[in-house]
Amino acid sequence: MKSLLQIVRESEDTAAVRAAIMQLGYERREEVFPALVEKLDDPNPNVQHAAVVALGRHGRAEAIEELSKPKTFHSPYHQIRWAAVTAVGRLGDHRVIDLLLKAAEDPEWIVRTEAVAELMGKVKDIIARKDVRLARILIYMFSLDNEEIVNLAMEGFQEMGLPCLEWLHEALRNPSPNIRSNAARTLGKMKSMGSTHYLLELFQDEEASVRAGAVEALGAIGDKVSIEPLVLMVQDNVDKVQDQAVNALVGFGRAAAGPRLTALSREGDKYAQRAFLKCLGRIGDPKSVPALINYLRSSYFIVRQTAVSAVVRLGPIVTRHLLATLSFNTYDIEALKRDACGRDSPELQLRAIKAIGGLEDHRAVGLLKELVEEGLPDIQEAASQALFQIGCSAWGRCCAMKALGEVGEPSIVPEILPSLRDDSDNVRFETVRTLGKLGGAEAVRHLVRIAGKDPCDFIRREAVRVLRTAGQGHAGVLDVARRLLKDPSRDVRVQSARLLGGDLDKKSIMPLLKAMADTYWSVRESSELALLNFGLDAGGMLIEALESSSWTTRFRAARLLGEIGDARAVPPLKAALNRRRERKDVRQVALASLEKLESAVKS
Amino acid sequence: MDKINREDAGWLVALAWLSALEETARDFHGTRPSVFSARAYEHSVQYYLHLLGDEYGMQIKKAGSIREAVENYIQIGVAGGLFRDAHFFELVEVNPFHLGITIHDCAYLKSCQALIEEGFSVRDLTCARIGCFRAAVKALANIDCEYQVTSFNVDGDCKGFIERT
Repeated sequence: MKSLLQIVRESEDTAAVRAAIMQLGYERREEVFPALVEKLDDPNPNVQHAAVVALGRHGRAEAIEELSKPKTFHSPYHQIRWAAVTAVGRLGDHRVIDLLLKAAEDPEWIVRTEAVAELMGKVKDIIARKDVRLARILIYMFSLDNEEIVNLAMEGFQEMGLPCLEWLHEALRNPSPNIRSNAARTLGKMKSMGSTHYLLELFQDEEASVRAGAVEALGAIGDKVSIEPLVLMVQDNVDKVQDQAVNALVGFGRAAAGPRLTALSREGDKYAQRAFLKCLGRIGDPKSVPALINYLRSSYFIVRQTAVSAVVRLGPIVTRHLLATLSFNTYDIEALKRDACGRDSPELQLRAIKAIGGLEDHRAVGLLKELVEEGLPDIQEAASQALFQIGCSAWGRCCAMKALGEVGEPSIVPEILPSLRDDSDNVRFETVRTLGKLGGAEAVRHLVRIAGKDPCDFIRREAVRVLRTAGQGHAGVLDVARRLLKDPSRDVRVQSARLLGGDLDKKSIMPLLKAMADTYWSVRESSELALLNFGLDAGGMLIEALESSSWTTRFRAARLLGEIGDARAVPPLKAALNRRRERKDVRQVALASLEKLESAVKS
Repeated sequence: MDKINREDAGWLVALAWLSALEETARDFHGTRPSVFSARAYEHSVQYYLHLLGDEYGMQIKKAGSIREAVENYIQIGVAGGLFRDAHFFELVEVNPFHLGITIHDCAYLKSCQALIEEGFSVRDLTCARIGCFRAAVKALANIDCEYQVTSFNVDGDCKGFIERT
């Protein structure tokens, strides 16, 4: 040991000094400690580092005072800071926590990680001792962003139980939002009924995380006193708080359904409405079905969507209620429409418009729009109001149909078929989607009819699209798809080509070849992809297509022949390549296909 | 309460207005708001181009093709501070009437993500970015096009196309 001390004091070889210092760390003699402390002032950072490590190993708590000095603990070298944190953690008890907390904010990640690891050790130590006086130290852990330490501290409080409540209640007034929030969450985990009024005070906190923490805690505690205030927190403008309030209320279950329904009926804010609906959907109380269905007709899209999701969560019990909402007026309204146009009698006109609005009859939309444009002010207002009623009613039917698509069974198909005659395009559109989901021969039969006849192109397109899956193996589907390759809407033609490519009926090859010359790229591309699925079966007709008068057909046929690998195509492709006045694009693709075919033959 | 700087505030307000517009389109047109949105994008692009000209004297070059129009618009957008960099976009001209577009790291990803989470399909997305490119083609090249989103957020990339009607 003497020789080691001599090297440390006299040698100029840094490596030797460093090695000696490290070795001295394992010695327990009195004279070692001052020598190591002295080396903390060495100008060489390598020697300093070794001194820090050795002091940690040497095991004397007095070293903490030296190690915590700025020259070491805030050294510009992160390796020294790292070693200092390790040493302090090893030498100290809970009293070094302050130091470690500072190190947990070090700019270097490795120092932070070490500090957190040491802190974890200290927290475990405090918990093991179960000394309530030390619980106060755990409060400081709540200020950290490290979830692992925070959770550990929370577990510590849970283990120590009620005697710690005073500290936690005090922490709810701490200036640090992290401490307030985590203290609140801890009270929740402890299910401390006596803390309800302390937590309710935090609902006014300016920090959203604190409000969210308090809401979460009250949800966990489950004190019914907090239901009404929690309902109010659903109106918070911060998503996190709102979500926690919903979670908390869901925890109360059906017991709190009344206040929620009342609040929902008074609520005008769409985000709050959405939150209430989510809440009701998750609780799944059948009593809330009428309220939920009522929101299917909201003028807000996001509210309607949430109402659909909420209704779907309730499952098949809602089917009957939803079917009832699909009905629409089918009685003759011509007389009413005439009265609504009659400008000679303004009172009668107004009453007729209001009646149409009351009937929510979509057939009057065109007329009402005209009145909004040209009528007198009170007529315009009444017509706008009627349009609003009609529009919302249509959204109600639409959303009910959407929900039925999720919860319904094929047996309800006959009951939704009348909606294919609904005057609202949106309702018919959604009916088509629902029929596609429910499936079955009857649904397919009507989808085939709609695909060919509906006046709206997007509905025809959707019908063909859903037939791609629902219509597999059903009679008439392929015939209509082949016919619809000539539909005026390109979207319908695209979907038809895709459908034909999924069901390899040879009768479809020729119509698809013709569609490859469509004026729209998407149709041409979809037809080509469909023909690719036919493989060699399409080879003969593709070879013939190389003689087509349409260059785009020749181009795509040449490309396809290369892709499907039909060896018979070699001579016709060569002919196309040598053809006079052939387009450059066609020649290039013919050459590429020939190369593909020839390389396939060679391999 | 921290005060928000003016640049961030500007983006915040723009995003709020765009979201409001998209949501209004859905309030009135449900899952098929494209007619409304496409018109709104046209107005937006026209206002933007006019403002750049009137207020900042920027010259707006007309274009002769779909690709050229989109390229010009991206160039204008970079100069006007709308886009950070032209490399956020990739253009592939399938043919003179069909332009494929890839958008890296789109600013509107979150709002589209929310719609996807609500059960929207990719083809139902209105995509303000590609929608405005389509509007720019109309404004700069006088070519009426349709557009569609074909893939959403695949490793942060969205894809779609613009096709002449």
